Amino acid sequence: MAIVKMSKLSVIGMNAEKPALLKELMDLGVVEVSGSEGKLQEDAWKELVVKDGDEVSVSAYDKKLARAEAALAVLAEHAAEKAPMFRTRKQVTVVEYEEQQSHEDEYAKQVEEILTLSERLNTAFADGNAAEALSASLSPWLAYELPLEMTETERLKLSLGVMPPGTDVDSIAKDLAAEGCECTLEELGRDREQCYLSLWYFKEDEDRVLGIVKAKGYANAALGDLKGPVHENMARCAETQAVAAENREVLIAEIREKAEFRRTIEYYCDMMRIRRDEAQVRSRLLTTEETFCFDGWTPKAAAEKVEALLSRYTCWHELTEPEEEDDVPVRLRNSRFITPVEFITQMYALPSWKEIDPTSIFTMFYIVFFGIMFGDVGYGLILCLVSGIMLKRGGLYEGGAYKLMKVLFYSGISSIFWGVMFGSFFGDLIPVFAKTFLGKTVVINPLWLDPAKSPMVFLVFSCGLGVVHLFVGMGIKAYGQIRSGHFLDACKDVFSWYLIVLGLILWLFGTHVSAGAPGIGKIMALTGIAGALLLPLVTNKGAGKALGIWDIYSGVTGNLSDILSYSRLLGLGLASTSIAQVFNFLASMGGKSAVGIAMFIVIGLLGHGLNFAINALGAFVHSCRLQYVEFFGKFYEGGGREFEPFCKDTKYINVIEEGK
Amino acid sequence: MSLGLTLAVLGAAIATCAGVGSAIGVGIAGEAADGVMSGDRVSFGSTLVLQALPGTQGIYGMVIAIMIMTKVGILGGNFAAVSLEQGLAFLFAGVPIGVVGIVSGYTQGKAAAAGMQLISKKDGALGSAIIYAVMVETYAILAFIISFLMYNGITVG
Repeated sequence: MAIVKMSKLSVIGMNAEKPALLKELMDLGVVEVSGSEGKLQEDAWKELVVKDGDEVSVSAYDKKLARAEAALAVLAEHAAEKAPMFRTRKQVTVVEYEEQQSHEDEYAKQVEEILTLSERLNTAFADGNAAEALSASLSPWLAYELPLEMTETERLKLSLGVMPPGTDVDSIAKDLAAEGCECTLEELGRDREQCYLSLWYFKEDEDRVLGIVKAKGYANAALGDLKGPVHENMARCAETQAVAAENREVLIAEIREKAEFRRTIEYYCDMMRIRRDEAQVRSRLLTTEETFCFDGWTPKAAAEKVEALLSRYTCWHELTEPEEEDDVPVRLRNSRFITPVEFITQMYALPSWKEIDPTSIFTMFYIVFFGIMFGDVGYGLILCLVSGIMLKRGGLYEGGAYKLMKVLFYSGISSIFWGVMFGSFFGDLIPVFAKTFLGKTVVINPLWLDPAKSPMVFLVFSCGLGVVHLFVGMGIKAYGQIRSGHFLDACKDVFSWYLIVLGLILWLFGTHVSAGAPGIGKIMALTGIAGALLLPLVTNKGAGKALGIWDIYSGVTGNLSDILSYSRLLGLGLASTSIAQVFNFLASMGGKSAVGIAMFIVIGLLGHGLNFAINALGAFVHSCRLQYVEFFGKFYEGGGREFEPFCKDTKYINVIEEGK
Repeated sequence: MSLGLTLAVLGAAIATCAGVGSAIGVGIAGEAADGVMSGDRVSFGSTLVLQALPGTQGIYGMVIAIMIMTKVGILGGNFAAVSLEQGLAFLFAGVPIGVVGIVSGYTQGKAAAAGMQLISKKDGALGSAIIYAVMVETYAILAFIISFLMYNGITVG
């Protein structure tokens, strides 16, 4: 239930043992190796050591990793497997992992095989496309039957060209004849862009002929150096296309056959990733000719294991307490029930290492708030079922989706509980159904109250829950202040406000409880106000002494708005049940008939589906908001840095020790 | 049909106007969604959630409207006897969610649109983007509570 206590680790070891030591540290996976930039700034260190590093291996492994990921991408494109809804890493034992290491070369070959196939596939695609493009560019010339390489005879020039689409070919032919140039200008085809022509003329007339036709927009066609007549070329294109298409099919089929490589390549990826990290961590080390050194962090609980490991090597090591100004990484550790909820804390910010982890404290509040806002047996059941099935069938055991589903499962149970309290099952589905189709009047009594019938009671209840929630938050602040020796500050900021808030409530509304309550409330409130006004005289310095008045003003408005903010419990609770009721009402408007039943089912499904989605999101987010804004606002600072141990940070496989 | 009943219907109509805000808000968010979807960094699902957020105001308005209409018997056909004063009270009960719904739907749409930009630039920011946008909804919820409490306090027949 808290933040894991960290110890600062300093190690000096022998270079000869470095790889083995680092590998064992990685297997252990509980040490964060800090960067050494700070030390390199200091002259005393600078003279002794240089930065270690193994950039060559890092880039070599990175390259292998990139190729393996590319191969996986090829497999994903052509041999897609039915993707699971949520990805989880495959669990493998250490023994299996070690065994897989020996297959490294084989896996590297598989990667290359797939990449080669993929390259050939790309070539096939390119060939096909080129043939298609050529065929398209040749098709207007289909009427021309002479071989394309034949551009002249002994006396004639044979040329192919294009002119603008609106050209009158006959008139140009007449112009040419009028000029006395004997030539043949033949139209081969015409489309919206161009007019396709063949032009034969005597070599000695070349200048005059070209002068005339070019004036009309004639341009030589660029068909490249093709051999044979157009139709033969096009037939060849079609053949190439067919071959390319067939090739593609064959190659894709081949890639598909290699689908089982996926597992092993994933293995290979992670192997490379682990080795890359092993090489990369060296850039954080400092080294001399014979020795190396590094600093780091390790959880206190794991310190013994780390020391045991290090004492097996020829090295000096030391574990110390973190100092005030250290940048200590933070890891949260909670019971199995609470752990999934940590992501809600993380979404806001990790606590700094000097704070306490609020997760376990707000978990119950979060779940209760969610339940009140969602508050329906039917919706709660669906939420439980869906998240339960995801957890079981999806095989989720880690990651964001797992945490979310767990939290939703808890929230679903809470919603069922509050649904019973409020007497809501898909709104008033059962009474409406019974009345419409069976003609009976069924009354489902809420176990506690119907929010729509006694909203004021519910409003007071919501705000009351809010007061408890806020007081707990303020209590945490007081705890922190007292722990750091500022007892008077705790009195000023927290305890006097307990008195003020409780006192004002009793003073204003106490008559509902007992006749004497307002009197007691008055005394409490005034004592609290006096405390809040006078204590700054002791705790603050200089002009800060007068801040008490400002504190009272901002405290009263702040607490008032915070407490009223919990009325959203009523609002969203009402919204989910009343929207459900409205949809039930709309659904039952068809009356007791076949059409009526169909209408009931369709509108019911759509309406409740919509309401479920809106209110599940609303309950989730507003429950978060009550933690973030109201609760955290009282005490939480955040800003911790996550503990990132040097370990096997993998994507596809999760290496676990047996017996864990 | 009495004047009171007519006023109650006007109240329901005003409450429904919360949908104006939602329509504008969902529209703004949708435009932003189109924009960020043109890159490939965001998923359809995450933009859809953000776009849907400003939609709740319209639903709150519709709920108040239908409840008013049910109470005075417009839905169901058996008109209740609604006095002029009661009718006016229903009219006023529709105002909070109607007016606040318009403004908060519009501004929530703008916040959601900005959230789209956020998630398109930073991975894993969907949670914060949703929460920023949902902050605006608080006021629609407050107005819904007030409209409901007013509606709940009026007895007819």
